[in-house]
Amino acid sequence: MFPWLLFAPTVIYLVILTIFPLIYSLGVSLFQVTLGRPATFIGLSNYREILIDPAFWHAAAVTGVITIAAVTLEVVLGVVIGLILNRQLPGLGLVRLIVYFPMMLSPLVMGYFWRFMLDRSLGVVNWMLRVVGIHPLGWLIEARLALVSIIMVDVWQWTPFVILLVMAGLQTVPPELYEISTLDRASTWMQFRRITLPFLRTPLMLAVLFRTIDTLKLFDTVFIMTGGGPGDFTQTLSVMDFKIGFTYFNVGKAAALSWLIVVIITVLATLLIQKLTVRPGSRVTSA
Amino acid sequence: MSYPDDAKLSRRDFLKYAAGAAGAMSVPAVLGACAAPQPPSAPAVATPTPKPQQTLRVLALNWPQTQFEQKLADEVFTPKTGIKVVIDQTPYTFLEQRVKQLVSSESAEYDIYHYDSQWIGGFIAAGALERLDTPGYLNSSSSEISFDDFFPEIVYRLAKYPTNEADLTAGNFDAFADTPIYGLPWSLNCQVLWYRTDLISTPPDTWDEVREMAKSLTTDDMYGFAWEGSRLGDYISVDYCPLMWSHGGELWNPEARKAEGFINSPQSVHALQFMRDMVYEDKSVDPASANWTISERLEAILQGRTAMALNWVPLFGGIADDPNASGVVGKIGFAPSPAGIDPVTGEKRRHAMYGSQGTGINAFSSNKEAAWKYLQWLLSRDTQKALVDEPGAGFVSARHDLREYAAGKSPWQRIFLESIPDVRDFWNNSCYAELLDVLQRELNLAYVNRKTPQEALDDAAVAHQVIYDTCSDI
Repeated sequence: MFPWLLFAPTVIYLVILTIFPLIYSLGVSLFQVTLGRPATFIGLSNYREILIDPAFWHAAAVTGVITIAAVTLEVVLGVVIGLILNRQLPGLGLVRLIVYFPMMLSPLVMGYFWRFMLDRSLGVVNWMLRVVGIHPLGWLIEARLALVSIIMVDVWQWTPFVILLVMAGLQTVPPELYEISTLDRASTWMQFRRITLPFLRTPLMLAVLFRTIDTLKLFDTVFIMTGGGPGDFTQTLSVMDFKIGFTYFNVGKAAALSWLIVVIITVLATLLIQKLTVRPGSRVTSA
Repeated sequence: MSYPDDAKLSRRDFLKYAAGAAGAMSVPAVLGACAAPQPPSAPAVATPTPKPQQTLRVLALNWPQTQFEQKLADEVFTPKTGIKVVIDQTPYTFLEQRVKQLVSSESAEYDIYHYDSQWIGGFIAAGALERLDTPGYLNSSSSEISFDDFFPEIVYRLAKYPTNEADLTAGNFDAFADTPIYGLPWSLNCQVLWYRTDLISTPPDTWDEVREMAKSLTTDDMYGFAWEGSRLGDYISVDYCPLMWSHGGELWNPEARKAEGFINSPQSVHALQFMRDMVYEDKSVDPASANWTISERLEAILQGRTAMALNWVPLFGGIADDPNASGVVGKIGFAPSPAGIDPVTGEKRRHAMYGSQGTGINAFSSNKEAAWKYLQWLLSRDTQKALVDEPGAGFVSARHDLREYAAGKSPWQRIFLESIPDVRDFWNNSCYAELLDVLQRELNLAYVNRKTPQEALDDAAVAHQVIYDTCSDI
């Protein structure tokens, strides 16, 4: 009995804060629920309505493009910058602190910050381009550039997270491996490929997992920077869900879309976790 | 020697790493919460007694007048009644969603809600607001205010529901004699023409004159005119609508519940073409304005980057002459929203975009009596006069007995009062948010040159018709 008592607070916490809301929202997704009117059971109609809506597929494509581009760039830049910052050079401590700074900002603040910086006329980015003789760009008003801007801001904010994981991973590499490989006349590239990269495999897979989950839910920066515009060109699934839920207040349909997002994220996350984990006993060891 | 080339994690290791990574990711959320903007703190209360026995909570917009309202409440209302007032300020973009969430849970957290005129239909459908034309409130013999204290052109749109724009625009207020009252006026605003007095001696009277003048005033450092073209909120719509109405266009036919032939009429298309041509043909409007909201446009005016723009008064009137905020102090004049010439009939019309906010009692509040006391005090002549007297509050009273007084206070207060007969609003039914979102999307697409005005408005007509046909409140 005693072990169950110790276990109870966690179970109660999970039931109240996670399991009940999830089941409740699943139930809501089967009803037509609009503010001030009695709920009507409509089965899977909300799901059907979403899946036949071209706006959903457009938002899914936008979300996919942002996720693939942002996560790829974050991982590549994270490794490169992480390797540079891992060196023992004077002043790098301060640089590390500055590099982590974007990650510490609230996405809402970030959205406003970049929105003003990327303004075609009033923004500092175009001012700098003009200084070097480049014609100002419509960062947030031209469809493709608006998408690029969102990816750029996500990369700016979250590359530090990958750097953090990479630097943690680099601490686990035994220095003697480099010493031995140097004696074996291994080139720098070979050392990176054969020693560094294998040790970074786990942190990088985790970075991909966390960043993919997070980017698939991207809302704040898009909502503040473009509102999903121009038109609906940068509307992500989360922005679409917010509009349905909190602007139109069609709660049932918003719950259904949330569940679709959950399914997409769960499938992708499960695939990634499967790649990362193995059953006990099958761990590969040395030769 | 071991190289973990193909090594995979055990589940225990995976959880260990994942927990560390999750901890790192939570940093911005925690810091963000710590850095979240707080409403300005209430000024120090000078009057010591009596000790507040009750607390009234107001969910308000973060308009300039709010901090002065809090100050007055602390200095006058609380000492007089013993009721402490806490006004929580929320940005416009989020207030509607916040109230809807509170209402859906029948929350009593706030006793008074401020709301925009378009939201009233949705709020009433949700049962959010207490009806005020009842014996407990306005119909009580002890009520210190009367609905007749306020001028109807502005207040009917805010307080009564359902109403219709046709009768309101025609001044046919008797049509709503028995229509229920759910709120009272809080902040009154409409868009008028702001112009640079050092560059323009006589402000333009019509949109055609605006266009010509904007072309001639555009230089390397300054554009002649500024639209707000953002897809967010209602920004592009509130600039397009007065232009469209002035040219003889309409959003819909409410009697027939029909969009086709109205939102995409030749007059409506002409207005959108006019708006876009100022950007791409005349080059007298900054193309960056495609993502501009109320903030960027105000900034363009105050930094002297545009010679003219529509903008809200009295809301921002006080800022124009505030040396801490404006680089063009003493150089801003105010004129009525320009008139348009109907391209089909040749008729001249003038319409100004209405943008006022009301205040009402939360139907689920447990402090309704105290809330009513507060609203009577807030709408009393003395309190309204104190707000009119404060230039930073950007305030005009809806009270008849303060009309002349406010008109003499400043040019921006006077121009608002002169513009009252011209004001028009868009939908205020419970489906307005969907209608507005479609209009925002299509106008923005035309503004950024992704669709022609005809294509954008044709698409809007189709999408709007679906909403008109399915919305039960229309």
